[in-house]
Amino acid sequence: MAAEMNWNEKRWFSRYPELSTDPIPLEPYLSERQFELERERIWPHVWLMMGRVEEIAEPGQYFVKDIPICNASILVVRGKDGKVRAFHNVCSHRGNQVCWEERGAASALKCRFHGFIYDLDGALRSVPDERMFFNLDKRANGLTPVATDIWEGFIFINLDPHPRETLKEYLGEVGERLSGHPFHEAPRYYEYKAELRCNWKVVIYGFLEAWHVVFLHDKSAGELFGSRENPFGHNLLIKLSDKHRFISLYGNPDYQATPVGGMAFRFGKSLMQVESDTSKMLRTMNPTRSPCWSFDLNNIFPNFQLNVVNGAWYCHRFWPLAVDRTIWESRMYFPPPANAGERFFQEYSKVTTRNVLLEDGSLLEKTQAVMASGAKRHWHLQDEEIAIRHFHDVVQKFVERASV
Amino acid sequence: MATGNHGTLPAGFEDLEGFVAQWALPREIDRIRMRWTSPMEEIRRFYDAMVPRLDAIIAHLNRKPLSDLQGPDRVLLDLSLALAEVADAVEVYGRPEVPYSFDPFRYPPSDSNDK
Repeated sequence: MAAEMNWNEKRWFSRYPELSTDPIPLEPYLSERQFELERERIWPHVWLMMGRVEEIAEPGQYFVKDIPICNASILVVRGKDGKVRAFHNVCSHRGNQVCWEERGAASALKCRFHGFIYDLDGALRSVPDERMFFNLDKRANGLTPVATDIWEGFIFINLDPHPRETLKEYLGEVGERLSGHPFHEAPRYYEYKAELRCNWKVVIYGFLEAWHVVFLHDKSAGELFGSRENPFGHNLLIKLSDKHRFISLYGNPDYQATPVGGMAFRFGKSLMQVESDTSKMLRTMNPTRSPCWSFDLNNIFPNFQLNVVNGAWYCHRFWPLAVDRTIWESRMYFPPPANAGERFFQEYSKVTTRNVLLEDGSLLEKTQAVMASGAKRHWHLQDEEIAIRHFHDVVQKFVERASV
Repeated sequence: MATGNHGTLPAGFEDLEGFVAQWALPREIDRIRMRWTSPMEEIRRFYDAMVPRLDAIIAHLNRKPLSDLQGPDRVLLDLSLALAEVADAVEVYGRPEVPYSFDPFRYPPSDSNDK
């Protein structure tokens, strides 16, 4: 119980004695060589979250998601049979991108270059001027498929033609703990996207510990995530698994909403809130059953962060472009607003969350900029920052693998 | 350059008509721009006028499903979304912009936010 927690002791590194408390070296966050090793040894071998099933609810609907570090454009499409499939968005003829729109609906997929037509299951259906080709076997020249699987409505792909693990194996404890969580009840999302001048891992670390909140977000979120009893927002729980990290975050039960915030919260569950009533709480949230719980953070390797509050959720994805450039995409999910009150509340919740994230964004760019000076060569982590050490080590395990 | 919806508000909300041109903006990116670039006195004037009316606004608009709101009701909804945008400028930061923050136009909302 949070009320019995001693917020003044170290609790986490002692649970994971295999993790070093030594300072973190900065080379992996600046080195082009590291970036290339990550490109080769991480990204083609992991499960990557592309989107949700609600985005392509009907047969024929599709969306395209680029994975810049793999030079890939992935087409995710629901077939006439209702099945979701993913393909490389590349025509078999001369390699044009087949779908140019970010999302759409079609009964078949037609390449604009020479009119090749693919069925929604990827089969090459028709080749104009076919008799002029030489032994073109249509059956062998459909769209190149990509391993696809779905977990709780999230569509994942794996660019490895023979994934080392199934999606279920890959997600492990995270997948089990969140099994049955009603993500589908909150399908309406609001989205923001930025290109940050920052290494993808440094961006992720900005969201992998809670004690910066009382400083960086002192006005916007400090009173929600810290208190007199727990002044630095020490976490309720941190759980580290093979590749992933879980943090259950503290919320100040005495937090008072602002005037407009209080009015808004009559109409829905905010992304930034404290949930004290655990009596009817789903088993998939707040594992310590604390009355001082704000949200659960699931950091799924390599680049998907899934944050769960009571009644809503939000996620981030991070896509490396270069050693010091990253695309950062956030989506905030709510139940579809039925009326103006709910729409107003969602606007308030997303705007206030957005503004907190804007505070993070500038900080991350500033950090990367001066890290490149070489003035400092290490970071010093404290106990509540163990997830950063863990992520660093997971990356290095992948990168140091001699064979992939 | 985005302009406010110059339609009128529903009957009973004439007191807010003077804010429509500036603040009844259907797109989030335009509401962000208006909040970030307006003088604090204008933001405060809008906030002070809207807050005591918010209960009545929601009660009026909630009589219909969200998807049925059109014309004057839609304008009134847009005004309330603008209140959601400026609220933390008044209640948290005391200034129009978020201090020390990332440029909001580099973290823009998707068009789908406004659907």
